[in-house]
Amino acid sequence: MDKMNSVYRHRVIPAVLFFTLSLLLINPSGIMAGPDINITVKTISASRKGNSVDPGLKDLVQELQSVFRYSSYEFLGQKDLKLSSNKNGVVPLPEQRVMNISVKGIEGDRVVLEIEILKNNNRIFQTVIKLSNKKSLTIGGPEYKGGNLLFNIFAAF
Amino acid sequence: MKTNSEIICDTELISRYFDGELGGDESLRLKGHISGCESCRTRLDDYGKIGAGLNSLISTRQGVSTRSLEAKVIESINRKNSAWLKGFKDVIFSKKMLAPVALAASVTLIFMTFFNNPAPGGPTAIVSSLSGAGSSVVIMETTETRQTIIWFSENG
Repeated sequence: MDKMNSVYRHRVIPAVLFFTLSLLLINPSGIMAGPDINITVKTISASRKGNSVDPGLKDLVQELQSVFRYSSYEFLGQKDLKLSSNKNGVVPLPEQRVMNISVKGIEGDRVVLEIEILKNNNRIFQTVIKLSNKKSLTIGGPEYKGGNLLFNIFAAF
Repeated sequence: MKTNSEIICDTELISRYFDGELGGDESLRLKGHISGCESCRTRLDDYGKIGAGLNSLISTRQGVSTRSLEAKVIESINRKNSAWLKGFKDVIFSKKMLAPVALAASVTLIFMTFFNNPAPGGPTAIVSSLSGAGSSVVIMETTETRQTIIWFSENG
């Protein structure tokens, strides 16, 4: 019995503790470098003139209609990026604008992104957001042909 | 199956009849035979006397009733089964086993936390910081999927 207790104390408990700590080290909480992040940026022109919605935007527009009062949504283009941590991706936008996206890390089920929009090489907007896996965010506002530009950013990892 | 006329004076059959081991039909047939066969009737009576005598002898010598002895044996068997179950519970819930069981449960919880990603309940994006050349920035959410919308003005 004493021998069993000794084996138990000196081998079993340390082994289990080591295993538990290993798991924590392999996958700690907090910001960590992780897998590649797949990012899709859709550029949309929204306007109150006309009454048409591009077919590929129907689901998105249905959601946006709860916030916006545009009657027309036109799909202008899409850029797909595959970024690892601290890598930067560039998305060309209409009228001398550019969007820079960089992955800062992953926190739980959210990817930390730094998003910057420049016009004529001048920064006009910058934000750091934590975007949920397989969810999207829409940034809007720049004026475009009597309406406004919307940028829908989707991330999956 | 033997008929009444075919049943011979089978001591084994009578013994089984006495112990109540014969089936309904067979028992009835033997009963019918015994009622007409003096030797089998005598044998059956002898079995009864021997049994009664033995019970009486055990009760007298040991001071134990055979019926209560049977009950005690059954009770002892049940007690042994309960003791085994109690022993099993004692091992599982003993202090010696509690630490490994708790650790195993913790490991399982950690595994499930990191490898099981439940759908988030909050907005699709949480804004940590904002800056821009324009003076106004508005953050909104759509009603159904709580998609985050950031609206900014390019002009100051």
